[in-house]
Amino acid sequence: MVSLSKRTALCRWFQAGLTVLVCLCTTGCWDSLEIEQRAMVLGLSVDIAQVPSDDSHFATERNTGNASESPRPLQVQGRPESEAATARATAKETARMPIRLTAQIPIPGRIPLGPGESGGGGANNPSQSVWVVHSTGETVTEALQCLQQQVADPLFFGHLRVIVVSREFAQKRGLSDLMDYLRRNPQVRRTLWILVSEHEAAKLLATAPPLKRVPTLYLISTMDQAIRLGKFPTEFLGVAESKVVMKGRDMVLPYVDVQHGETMLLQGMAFFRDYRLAGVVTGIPGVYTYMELCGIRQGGIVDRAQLPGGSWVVLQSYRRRRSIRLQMVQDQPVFDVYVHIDFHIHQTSGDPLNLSNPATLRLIERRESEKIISAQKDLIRRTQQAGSDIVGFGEFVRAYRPGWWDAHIQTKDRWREVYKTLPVHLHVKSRVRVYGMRAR
Amino acid sequence: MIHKTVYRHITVMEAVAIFIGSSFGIGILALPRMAVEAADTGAPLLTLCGLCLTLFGALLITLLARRFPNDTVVRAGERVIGKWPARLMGVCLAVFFILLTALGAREFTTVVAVAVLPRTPVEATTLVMLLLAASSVRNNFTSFAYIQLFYQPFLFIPSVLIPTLALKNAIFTNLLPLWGNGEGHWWAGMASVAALLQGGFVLGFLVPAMIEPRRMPQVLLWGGIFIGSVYLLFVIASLAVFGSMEIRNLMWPTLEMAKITMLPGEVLERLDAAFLAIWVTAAFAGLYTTYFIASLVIKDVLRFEDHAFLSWALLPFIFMAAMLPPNVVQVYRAMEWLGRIGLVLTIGYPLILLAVAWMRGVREERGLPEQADSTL
Repeated sequence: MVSLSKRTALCRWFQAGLTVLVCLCTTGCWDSLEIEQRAMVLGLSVDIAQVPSDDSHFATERNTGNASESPRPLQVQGRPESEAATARATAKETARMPIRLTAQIPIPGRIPLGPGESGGGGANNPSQSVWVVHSTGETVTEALQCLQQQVADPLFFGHLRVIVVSREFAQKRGLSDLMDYLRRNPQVRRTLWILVSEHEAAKLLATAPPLKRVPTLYLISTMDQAIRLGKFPTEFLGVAESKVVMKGRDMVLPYVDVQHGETMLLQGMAFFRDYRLAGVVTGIPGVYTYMELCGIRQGGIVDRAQLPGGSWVVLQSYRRRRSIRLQMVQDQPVFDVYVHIDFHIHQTSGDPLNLSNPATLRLIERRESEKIISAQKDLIRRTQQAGSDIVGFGEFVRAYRPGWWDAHIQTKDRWREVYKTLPVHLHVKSRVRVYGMRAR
Repeated sequence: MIHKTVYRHITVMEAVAIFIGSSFGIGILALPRMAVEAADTGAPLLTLCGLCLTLFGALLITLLARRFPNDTVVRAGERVIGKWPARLMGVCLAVFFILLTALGAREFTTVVAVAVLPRTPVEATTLVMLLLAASSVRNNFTSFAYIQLFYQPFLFIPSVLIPTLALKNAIFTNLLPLWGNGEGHWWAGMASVAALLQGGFVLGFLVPAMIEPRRMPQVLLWGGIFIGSVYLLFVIASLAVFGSMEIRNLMWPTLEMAKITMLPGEVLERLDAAFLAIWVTAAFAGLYTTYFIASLVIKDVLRFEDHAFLSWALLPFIFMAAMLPPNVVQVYRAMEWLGRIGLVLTIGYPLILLAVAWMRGVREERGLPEQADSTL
């Protein structure tokens, strides 16, 4: 009896020991990484390296250096695409276009945490709260590896919020391999923004208006507010990834530039043909036209309608509705797009104009509708020329005429050919709802 | 013939919980991709068909249970087609559920290794999951039911919350046409979807333990409604958000959907890690069920009084089987094939039993009370 209980006790001890051992061995501590040991990458910029580097490590070595400054002026700012670079690219083909990567890593101690806190490490200038590191490589992963060589702590992309690519990169090299990397990496968020910069992307990443504590966060809040104000549609990475593989649609990305060397200007959108930039739409009307055609409810445009007699009114749209009708005419798709926009009037040219007259309002509405239709026509014509169906007419055909799609289209390339000559009839109805506190 | 192991404790609600818990698992992470690969935008319809196939299987088990309210599937088989053929089928079932447990564990740890714990060896995470399941399998049916019931909220809250919140980014045309563009492989796709739900076979062992076996159709109904709506919700939401072409690019679309989802007010900007942390319970519930079935089958075949010691005995085999596939491609290929073979066993076998029982006129001896034996 004694021996039995002894054995039971031993067994108990053995079991307890085993439990502890298992707990210790299987906690997943292999992946433990303290937060201060991570180098959080907040923003990345991707350019085509101007110096063709066969030895990327060499280039990296040269690019290392006083990093806490804003990036060194590598090229003349504002130069579109140097002829030399273009010639070299065409000669060497796209296969060997090394990437120049710039990463923004926030420096923990230098970021003021509260609104009133100042001088915590002398961070009155937001550009000093981040560390900027450059590297070069043939591919994104190689460039990131070179980056890791310069940064002690493991790079962490879980907080990566924005990637700026230069227009040159998007045009010549395309975003295919970059987006492949982003899809594969589990840390990367789908709500990340990819911005296309007209000029050097690194420069744009470094623009540091004093509104935010960290430059990248300023870029993000620019985009977030743009969506809220109805200035830009929701086109973050996840949305773009979905659109780029759709058979009847192509992606658009925000198109930005540096202005006066220190502010970021959201100047339009870049539209793509597969992963390659096919064209840009600059100016506010371009983006709004796109949003109208896509049926995004949130309005926001301020526009001036010219009336006969030299007077004018300034209207702001606040709400839209869109419906699309697809018909098959002689076995070819024909689209009718109906857009309804509601406006407020913000300002007029002044006195002779009397808004309380219904005829005047009708005139304003008609003028505005005509103007919007011509802008829409222009956008559709441009995307048709580029073969980039950003509104997604093809998706409508695929969804609502699957029989015809399966018989005639099936692939994205074939849809592009159809899209180039696709008849789209535009119908816009504008309504002025109210015109402020003034009675006339 | 009433066996000593017949004890009636399980209520209808517990049975529903068991049915649901057995059907949710880590498979739901890849479900939208599997459905889209088979039927393009017809994925929701395909999922519905797959669910119907599963429910058909469950219905067969229910009918069988109505005929033999005191017997598990294996024992009913012995009475219908004879001792040795039924034992052979029992062995097949046991092997199948052992492999299913192994691959389920492996699939879960693959997801974990890719998504959150890249440096932790797959062996370690698999072992933890299996140890956890093995120690739970030692419990009896009542504890099994309690555990499954306890985890229900952990399954339901994320499975309703995440698709609903993700619908913010939905595009309606992504869901059309309802039957998909081009030719699909509907039968194979249906089989793949139904294969995810094979834990439902546990109903065949549940009947002798239920207080009121004749209320099995209710279990079927409620379980079917809950499982079906969650499966459909996941497939519809991810299809609407990503579109059929992008889903083909995503290893685990459901996880990706959690990644795009924000809690309102930007409390959490991505829910994938949170989702995976909660979904451990679903993976556990699924593993627990298949492991439990495997040990119950062996118990019935070998006429053991208790299945508890089988849990540790099976562990090495399950672990080794889990470590066999060399990469993620092989894991999914193995699951696909195993799933299809499994359908023959989990739907085909009850069908044959029912047919033979009907022809031979074998049924529960009338006059025997469905008595409760509360020795356990």
